[in-house]
This record gives sequence, C-alpha cells and structure tokens, in this order.
Amino acid sequence: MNRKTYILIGLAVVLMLSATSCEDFLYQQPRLSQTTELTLSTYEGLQAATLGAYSPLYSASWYGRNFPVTVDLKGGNAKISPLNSGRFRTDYLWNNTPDASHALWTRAYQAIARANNVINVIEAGFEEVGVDQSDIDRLLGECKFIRALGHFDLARLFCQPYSAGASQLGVPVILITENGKPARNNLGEVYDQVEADLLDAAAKLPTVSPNAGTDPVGWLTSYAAEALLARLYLYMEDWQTAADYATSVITTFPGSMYTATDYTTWDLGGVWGTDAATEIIFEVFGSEGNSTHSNWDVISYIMSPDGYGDVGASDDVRVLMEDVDVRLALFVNTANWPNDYWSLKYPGKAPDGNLREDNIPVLRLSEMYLIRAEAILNGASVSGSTALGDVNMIRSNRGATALGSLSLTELYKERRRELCYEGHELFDLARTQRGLVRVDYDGAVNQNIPFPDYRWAMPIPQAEMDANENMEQNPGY
Amino acid sequence: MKRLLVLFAFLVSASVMLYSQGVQITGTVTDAENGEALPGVSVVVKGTTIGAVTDFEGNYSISIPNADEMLVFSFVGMETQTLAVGSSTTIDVLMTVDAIKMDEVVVIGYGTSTREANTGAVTILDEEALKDVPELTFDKMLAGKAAGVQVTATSGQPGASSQIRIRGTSSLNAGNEPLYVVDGIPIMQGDQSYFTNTGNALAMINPNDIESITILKDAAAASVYGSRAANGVILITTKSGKKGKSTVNLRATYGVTSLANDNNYRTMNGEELVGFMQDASRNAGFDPLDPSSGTYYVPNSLLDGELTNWMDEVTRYGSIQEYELGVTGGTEKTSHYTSALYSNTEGVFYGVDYKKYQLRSNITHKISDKLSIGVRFNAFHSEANDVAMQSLYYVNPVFAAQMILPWTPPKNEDGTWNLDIPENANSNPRATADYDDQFEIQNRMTGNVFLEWEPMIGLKFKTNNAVEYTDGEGRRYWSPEADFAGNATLQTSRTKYKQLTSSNTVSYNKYINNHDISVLGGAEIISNGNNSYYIYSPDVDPAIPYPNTGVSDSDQGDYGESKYNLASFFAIVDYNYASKYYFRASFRTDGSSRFGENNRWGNFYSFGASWNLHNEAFMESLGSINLLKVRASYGVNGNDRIGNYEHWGIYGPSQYNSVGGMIPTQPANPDLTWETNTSYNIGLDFGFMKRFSGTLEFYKRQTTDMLLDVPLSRTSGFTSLRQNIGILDNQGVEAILNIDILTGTVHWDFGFNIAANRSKIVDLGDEDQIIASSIIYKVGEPLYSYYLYQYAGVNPVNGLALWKNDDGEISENFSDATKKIMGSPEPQFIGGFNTNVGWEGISLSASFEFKTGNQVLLKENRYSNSDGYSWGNNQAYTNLDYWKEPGDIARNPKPIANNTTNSSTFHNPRWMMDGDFLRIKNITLSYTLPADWTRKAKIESLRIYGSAVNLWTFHGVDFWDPERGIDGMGYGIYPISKSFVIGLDLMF
Repeated sequence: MNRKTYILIGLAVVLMLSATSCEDFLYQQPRLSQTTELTLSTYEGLQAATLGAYSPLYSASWYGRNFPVTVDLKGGNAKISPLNSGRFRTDYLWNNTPDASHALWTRAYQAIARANNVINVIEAGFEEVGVDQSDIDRLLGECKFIRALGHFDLARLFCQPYSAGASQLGVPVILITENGKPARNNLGEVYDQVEADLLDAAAKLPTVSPNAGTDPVGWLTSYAAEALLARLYLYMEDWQTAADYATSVITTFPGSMYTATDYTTWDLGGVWGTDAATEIIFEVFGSEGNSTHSNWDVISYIMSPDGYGDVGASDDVRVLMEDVDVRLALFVNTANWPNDYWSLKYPGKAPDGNLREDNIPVLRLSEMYLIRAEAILNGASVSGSTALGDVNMIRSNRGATALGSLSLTELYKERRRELCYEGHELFDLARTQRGLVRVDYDGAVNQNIPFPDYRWAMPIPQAEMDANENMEQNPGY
Repeated sequence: MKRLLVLFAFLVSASVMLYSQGVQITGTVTDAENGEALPGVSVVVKGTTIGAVTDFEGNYSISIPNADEMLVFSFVGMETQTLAVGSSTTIDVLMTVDAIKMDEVVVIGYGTSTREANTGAVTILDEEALKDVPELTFDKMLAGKAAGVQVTATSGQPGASSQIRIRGTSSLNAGNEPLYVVDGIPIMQGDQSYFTNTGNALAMINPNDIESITILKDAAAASVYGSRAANGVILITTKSGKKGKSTVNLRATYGVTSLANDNNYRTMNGEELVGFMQDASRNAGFDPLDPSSGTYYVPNSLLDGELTNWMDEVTRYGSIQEYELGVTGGTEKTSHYTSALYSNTEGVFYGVDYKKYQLRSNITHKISDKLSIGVRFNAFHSEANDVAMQSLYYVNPVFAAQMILPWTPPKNEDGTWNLDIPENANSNPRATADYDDQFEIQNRMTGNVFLEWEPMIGLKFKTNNAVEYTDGEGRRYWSPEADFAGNATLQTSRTKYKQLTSSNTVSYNKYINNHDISVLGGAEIISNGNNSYYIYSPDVDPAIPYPNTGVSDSDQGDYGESKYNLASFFAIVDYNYASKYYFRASFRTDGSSRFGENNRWGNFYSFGASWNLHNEAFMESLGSINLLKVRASYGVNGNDRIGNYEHWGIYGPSQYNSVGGMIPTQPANPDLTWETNTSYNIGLDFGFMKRFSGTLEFYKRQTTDMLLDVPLSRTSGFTSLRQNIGILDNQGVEAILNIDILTGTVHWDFGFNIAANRSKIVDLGDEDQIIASSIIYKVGEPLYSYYLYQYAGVNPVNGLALWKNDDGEISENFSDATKKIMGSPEPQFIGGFNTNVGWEGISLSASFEFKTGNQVLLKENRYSNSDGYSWGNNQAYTNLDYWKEPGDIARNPKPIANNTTNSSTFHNPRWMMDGDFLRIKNITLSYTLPADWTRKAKIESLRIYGSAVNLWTFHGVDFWDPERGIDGMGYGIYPISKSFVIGLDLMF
C-alpha cells in the first residue's frame, strides 16, 4: 500500500465517525419524570395528569389554609388571636397591597393550566384502544370542574361581586395554557365559562368516583358539579336555577345531614376531623402524604390553639349561637387565654389528632339547604319546600330552637353559624352588598368596610403586574 | 455539511508531496558564552525528520534535499536557532542560553505548540511552579500563581473544592468553573459526595504527577473547546518517563497544621459575656441580678465554675502525612512513569480527616516508527470524614463554638460528653465528632488509551479514548450517644458517576520555504451520567447501625439519575511565515443533549494572530531585546453549564388522596441553549537583557444569551422560565513580570503577576434589576453588588440602631429602612508574587497571594454579633464595642436581651468589611546534598526541605480568615489552616 492509500483509509475512518447520526445520541430524556408530550399521549398519562390537577387544591395558598382563612378573617368570623406572631395580620386589617396580596392567584392558575393540558388533548379527539369513552369523559369532567373552581375562586377573591355588575373586571379566562400575557375578561365572561365547564362536568362525571384512594369524596362527582352550579347561580342571583340545582343535590345525593350528636370533633364521636363524613359532597383531602402538604403551614395548625393558633374565632360568630346550639360547643378557650376562643372545625385528623392533617370541606349538604332557602326568599319556588323549612331542617339537627319565621338577615346569620371557617363569609357579604361590620375587633384601622368599596376585590399580585403588561390592576390599589 | 468541508480542506493540503536530491552541509556548534564545543545538539531540516546530532567536538554533517531548506539547531536550555542554508555548505553556529524559554513545548488544545508560536492568552505553570506546595488538590496551588485566575477558598477543609474564576464571572445561572482537560481528556469536576464537603473530583489527581498546567484564557486558545470554553480551560499534562536509566523516587512529607487566626478573632470570654448580658438584660427592662427575672437573670455566679473556650475545645493541631514512591525511565521505544501515593490529613477540627490512596501509571510505547500507543491510568481511593461544616447548623463546630456559653461544661462529671446544651439545641460538637458518622468513601478510576499513527512525515492520526468512573459510598449516622433524645438515625447513599470520551484527530503539518502550515480536524464524543441511591432509616438499632435494623414502616428510599451527551467536530489551522507572522483559526460545532431541539447545535470559532518582532531583521540592531511579540485574538465560545434536562417540558410525580399522579414541574423551552461568550484579547510579550521578561494582556469578554429566570404571567401555570436573554461584560488587564536578578552561582529570581477585572451587567431582559437577598444584579452595576439596608449608626442619645431611607430620613424603626447598593465582593486587583534564591544545593523560595478592593459580608453576625438577639448564646468579642451611656459614639447599638429591633439583620452594612488580604502562601527552604557525597551511598540525589503554608495573612476582616467564597457571603466556614511541613525527596 502506498501512502495515498493509507491517507484515504484514514480519512474514511474519520468520515464514518462524523457521518454517524448524532441526533439519537443527543436526544436524552429524563427518566425519573416524563416529558409533557409523553405524559399527555396515553390514557394512563392523562389520568395521572388529572390526579395531578387536584394537587394545588391542597396547597397552603388555596384550600390547604390561606383561602378559607383569609375569607373568614376578612369576613369577620375569625380574628387574630393572642397567640398571633404576625401571620395573616394584613388580611385581618384589610391592608392588602399588590405586594401583599393572595397567593391563590398563582395556585389557581396552576390548577387551571394542569386541567387545560388534559382538556385540550381530550377535546382534540383523544382515543385509545381498550379505553372506554366514559373513562375519558370522566377525566374531562374532573378537569373542567377544577378549571371552573379555579376561575370561580379567583373571581370571588380578586374581583368585585358579580351581583354588582357583570361588566366589571373579571380575571383572565384561560382555556389554552401558554406563556401568554392575557388581559382580564369581564366578570360575565368568567362566570359564563365557569357555568359552561360545570354543566359539562355535571354531564360527564359519575355519581361515584372510581378513583382509588383513602377518601371517596376527596374526588369529584356529578353531585359536586351540581352543588357548585347551585352556588354559582346563587352568586349570579339566578334564584330559580340555584334552587333547582340545590334541590337536585338534596334529593339525589346519598349522604345525610349531620345530626346534633355528629356535629363535634372526632374524639367525641363527631364528624370534624374524619374522612368522608356524611354531609360531604366534595372535600379537599388533607394528608402529610399529599405532594402539596406544606409542613406546619396547614389549616389545623394555624387555627388550633394546640398548634400555632394564630387565627382565633371572633365573638361576633359565637354571639349568634344559642347555648343549646351544638355549634357553639365547637369553640374552645385555653387555660392561658380564658377569654379567647378558637374554632375546632379543623381539630387534626382521627385517630390521633395530627394537627398537620385535616380535610377541608368545599361542598356539603347543609349549604344546599341554605342556598335553596335563600333562593326561595328571593322569589324562587320549589314544590314542597319552604325557606323556613330548609333552615329549620338544619337547626333541628344542631340542637337549636326552630325559627318561626325567616328573614334574609336571619338566613345570612344561619349561613354564618353553619358555614363559618369554610371560606364563605367574605363572599356572602360582597354578593349581598352588605358591608363588613366588626364588633369584636382588635385592629387600629378598617374595623368596618362599607359596600361598595375598592377593597372588596383583592389587588392583583405585583409579580403578575410586572410580568404581564396587559394586566389591569383593580382600581384603588 | 460544514464538518466535511474541513476534511476536504485537509485532503487538499495533505496531497502535496515533495521529493528532491541532496546537498551536504557541515559545521561546528559552540557555546557562545565560553566558546566550548557543544556535543549532542540536534540539527534537523525544518519540516522533515532528516537530522543529525553533533559529536564530542561539536561537529555535524547533514545531507539536505535542496538549498532552499532551513536548518533547526536545538539543545536543552539553549535558544533554538533556525537558519537558511542558502549557498553555503558550511554553517557554524553559536548557541546561547535560552532565558525566556521561547522553545519550551506548550500543551494547547488538541496538541502542542511553543511559546514562540503562541497567539492566545495562556498561562503555563511547570513542575517548578507547583513543587513543594503541600496541598491535597492542585486547584489550591493555582492561587496567586497565574494572572487573571482567581482561586477563592470556600472552605479550609482538607479535600474541599475551591471556586476558580478565569477573567471574572460570566454567568448568573450557568456554571462558572473552567473546563479541566487531563492528558487530552476532559474530566468530571465538582463535588461528587453525598454528605460531605470533600468530594472535590479534582482530588483524584496527585499534584506531584503533574508535569505542567496550561491555562487557556482567551478565545484564540480556548474556543476549540466550543460550548465548554467560556470560563476558560485548564489543561493538565501528567508526567511521562524520560529516556535513560530508570530511577526510583521516594518522597515523604510530614506536617503539623493549626487553625489560622492572624487577627486573633475570638468569642467573648466569661467575664466579658456576663457584663454584656447584664447590660442587655437591663436594657430590656429587667434586673439581671434578680432571680425572678427568669431568662433575663444573669448572676455573676455564672463565673464561679470552670469556664471553657469552646473554639479551643473543638479544635486541635491537625497533621499532614504524605508518602510517595515512584519509578520512571525509558528506552528508545518505551517510556514509563509510575507513582503510588498515600496521604492522610487530620483536620484542625475534631471529626475531620481525609485519607487518600492514589496510583498512576503512564506508559508510552513505539510499536514502529509510525505507530505508537500510550496508556494513562489513574486509580484513587479516598476516605473522608467530616461534620456538618459550611452551615449555620448547630452541629457545625465552627458555628457551635461561637454559640455555646463559656460556662457550659464540655463534659459531665462522669467524663461523658455533656449534651445538655440548650443554647445549641442540645448538641455537643465533640460528642458529634466522637460518635456520629458523616463520611464518604470513594473509588475513582480514569483510564485512557491513545494510538497515534504517523503514516508519513507531518501527517498524524490520533485516537484517545477514556473511561472515568467514580463510585461513592456515603453515610450519615446520628448516634444515640451524641443525641440528647437518644435516637439513632441513619442515612446511607451509593453514588456512581461515569464519563466516556472518545477524541479523534487527524493533523497535517507542512513547511515549504518559510511557509509553515498545520491543520487539524477532529471529532469527539462524550457521554456522562450519574445515579444515586439513598436510604433513610430512622430508629436503627445502635448495636447494628445499618439499614437492615431500621423500622421498615419509617424507612425511605430514593433514587436519582442524570445524563448528558455531547458530540463535537472541530478544526484548527495554524500558519506562520518565517517565524515572524503567526496566524491561528479554530472552528468547532457542538451538539449537546442539554440544549433544546431548536438550538441543539452551536458553532464556535476564533482567530488569533501574532507578530514576533524580535525575529525581524530591523530588530537586530536592538540586540538587548530577546523577545517582542504582539498578539491579538477574537473568538466566540459557549457556556453549556446548565442542567441536563432544562429544555424539556416535564411532568413529575405527585400525590393526592393517597394516589400518585403527575404534575408539570418544568415548562418546555425548546429554544434553551448555551450562553455565548465573545472575547477579544490583545497581548504583548517582551523580554530584554536576558533578565526581564513579561506579558501584558488587555481583554474584553461579553456574555450574551445569558440565562435568566424570566418571570411569567401566572396564567401560564408557572412563575418563571429560564431564557437566554441577558448580557454581561467583563474586561480587564493582566500583567506578568519575571526578573532573573542574579544568574551566576547564586541565582535569584522574582516573579510578579497582577490582574484587574471589571464586570458590568448590560442587559437583564425586561428587568432592570434582580434582587437575590443581600445581592442585587442591576443593569450598569458590577455583576455582584451588595444590596443592604441603610444603617445610619448608633443614636448617641439612646443607643438604638438608626436606619435611613432613600430620602435620607433617619429612623429608629428598622421597617423604615430602604436598601441600597453598597460594595461588591468582586476584587479590584488579584495577583501574587514569588521569589527564589539559590546557591549550590540550597534554595529558599517564597510565594505570596493578594486580593484587594473586595468586600465580604459576615452573615453569621446575625447570630454571633447580635446586639442581644441571640439571647442565651455566646457572642463575638467584636460586640463589646457597644453604646453604654448618652453621648457614646459606638460601633454597635446597645444590646437588648431578646432584641426585636432587627438591628443585626442579615442584610446589614455593619457586617460588610473590606476583604483585602495579602497572604504568605508558602515559604520553603530546601537543601540538596552534594551528589558526590550521596552517590557514595548509591543515592542519586537527596533533598530535604521545610515549608510553611499560609504562614501569615494580613487582613482586616473580623473572622479567622478573610475568604468567604466568590459572593463573599459564605457562612459557617471551616477557616483555612496553617501548616508546617518537612519533607524528604530521595532518588536512586
């Protein structure tokens, strides 16, 4: 062989090396997690992504703690306790600013994004051999519910009430998740989307969730969709439809109303602190095993005097209750603070009262009776039902004396007695345009907030304002 | 396909071949200094292997192809001469001593060059510069030795890694460490341990095995490493055998170490603390002498018992031992180098030690004239014990010793360690050191085999293939003896790292009539991966403290893994004309699995040129100038130090209601790619009177496509996305000066280097600034700027801290304070100097390192200088200078027990100090016994020496050592140690 042959052989070797396709070699996917495309390409993946969309509900910034706590603090049901170390003071004082607003904004949109990922794949015609359409529909129903709840809770917290005008600023309605800079829709558009999603969810969800897990009502069912529709129409003051959906749940839901003996903590044989209590239509399941569990930043720890106990109960709620009302017994004081009270709705879970675990009721049967009663008082009619009957149905199960007549004011009080610390009062005041009046109040400012006032809508967080030039801040901030 | 073009160009040049008949040339070579004949001088026809060697009379005779050729005369230690043959047939040559080592072979990217031919900014450290520095890892040796290379200690712990920045910091979110290439193979780097701080991957290289280190600083030198070159490249060449009789080398060193504390930093003693606490108690409104004051009761009787200096209690004299045996030698065909090392370092803190065993064998063999094969094999075993250093955690002895009260006894009356130490979470660092385990045992191996084929003169094919592997076993055991609650908790880990590399090049060199051209083309692939298993076993049986006795319900296991692959093609062209005009161009294309699919391949390139004025005829009149060379370069390279899967949209596991689901954990970013680094360099090398030589460099490097976490609208479901959008500039000057003051029997030299780098943030995307706790990144400012609350001193009236807002309004209320940029941890000047005096066998050398113009922030003062905030803990003596009565102008506000005024906040300019220092790195005195004595004992050479390392550091920081990492904010730092070492080198 002469030199040139050597050279050519040598070059051929190098050429082969360089000609080898590198693209496979350079395609490295993580194995301990999955790419978005892969996750969303199979039924199993879509199901996992749907289960993942539940996770944000338990985060500390949503039902896991801050959402119900903020709503009840600002609504006057809760107050800063003597144990308080500074947590939630801003909410209590109604001193929220764009820099000190509410983290629900991030969490709710995270849930919406996760739901959208599944919805968009399914609605693009997803099918898989061997998978029933009903199962695919169920995932769609779960995700539409979560998307609806996200938009609804955002609109309730960051917007003026729908009842004061549907053309007011809403929140961006996000149906396709992308790195966009969306502007705000108006409230009417938001509520229309929530309605559409819930109607679809009600049609597609089963009455019993086939999902495994510890808590069967920690998953979504058609009852949950109908119950949330009842609440939605109540907020929209579509009284008749609200009453109809409430009636539908009351008549078909297999659970039963808590009795006077039920209405106490698990250690006394009651329902608070237990999984899947009889009234629960949908609750957010609390557990240290949940990925979004945030150590001590959980609702029981902040509300129990045995935990941080930063958030106590206002006397304004307690004074509404008769001595015989079992709901009054759910408040406790401590040896060090005999004149201060805390609610035991979140006593830590049975069987050991772990203060880092508690379920948060989102929808339960008593609220359906209260919705129907309020709708009827406002002109709805349901055959065989009266507003007074519905309210007394609850009161008779709470050891309270039956009422002889029912005014709207009394109904609002009953809502407060029954639903306190479950994230309603602030929104009830807003949608009925009543204004906040606090008697038991320790703050220096903002004891009472009139309606209307710009502060009924919390400020859009500054981080969003900074990242999105199309975002409009609520007036006044 | 650009990759094929390169090869085509090579093909064209390779096909040129020349043949002709001979001309006979003869002559004599003599030493210019004394006129004596020089035997053994190599005479070679340039660009060929045609050559001859001078005989004992200095005569040579050589047959050359034609009269247009050049003859190259070279001899070790002499300046190489290249002469045109022309019409003469007799050429006599006078050789002179090469003071500037212009012909020294310099290892550069994918080959070698000479100082003469160099076009880029490179710093070369040879064996001499690295000798006698008893450090475990070579990265520590670079400190103060190379202009523009900033070596910052983050810990003085044996085996810990340093932060190295070449020409400043170029990135916010990608890595900033240089690329290390050993014997042509890029190696793994960083800390590879699971629980300890001492997994520095560079530790596997025995510093004594290093023949030379080349630091590639500018684009012309580094860009051939493409997407990994942005932070500079450090090339390490290990020793190989020299032709001749095999020698056996024995080296032994032993040393004692102690905590360096040149400013006498300390905690308060008992009396000082009692006085301080009594004042703090009074200032909080209590009577410190009244037992009913509860926790505010500070009786003088605290001083009645035995008092303990806890820093003394947790430290000791450490030791260094190192023993090495080596054999090296070579024949015509084979050269070999083998070394075996054992080293054992005991840290100055109890519980800290580091042992390593290291073996290296380098063998090169010529199979034939055209084919040679080589093996570089390195095996390493290390056992490192430590405690939780580098944290403000109560088991960190550095922090604990500052917090534990002097009247807390270290031992109980029965002689066991006292664990009832509530002020330190009931943790005793001595008990921890005695009973707890925190260790990492590593086995590492690197092997590479290369084959070089030179089918004809000038044409070379080389394939270099390597396997690098680390196997680590970690253990963290909290024993019941050291735990107040008496629990036994175990964590164990197994980790594996591997990197496979295949680097293949073809090069061709041709010299025709003063035109000297070299081309090189290559392909390289790297596959890197790691995985780890981790087991958490609470409540193990202390009698059998292993996972098998853990309670199975509480055992937890975890697994992690990560991989990346890199494929590259590259080419280099070198050209010079008559050793006067040099030109170099490089090109590389890198494909990386780390980059998003839209930007998977990147192209990088550089151009460099130099003009050797000293080789011009017109310079000959200026005889005293030996070297005058100007260089310029421009190039673009990249920084690929980003996470392995950052471009993917990812769903990761989640759980709700006891069922597993999947949640999006990372938004997709198919555009994500390397950061681009564009660099310009102008350099001047000079040498005159054979005594003075040096270098001046000016550079600018700009990082574009800098990775930033861009905030997203939350409606996207994410809060931020890492994007390539920022711009950062670094520019600076470097100067090196070397002087041979005396060159006779007594020789004395002096070297000095200094560098100044200035960084500036040019663009942060849509943001004007990014605040990261005490640091702000702001457009127009240096990369790192401290962003601290405006402290306005102590109110002389009442002793409270005063704060200021941007309008200059003074307030006693901390919440009224606003933050402002104050100071920067970036040094204005870094450098070092060294000197060496020698006479006969005696030599004395010293090296110094300095940094100036930087600030450090002592964040632990939040607790250790806390104005009473850390009530019930000991405090630093610096807190004693506090306000006592109206009118006092004091450094510290009055202490208040359980202080709630936030006066000792982390973000406090009171904790910012000038970080300048001058360190006597090393002083070594050595004596080599006269050879005619030792030969009688059949010893080729015998050398004894004594070294002092970190002998003294001049600084003004209120801490043991001034260094606190690149950002100046390290805390809980294991300070550096001083060592005094004696050593023996024996050669048979």
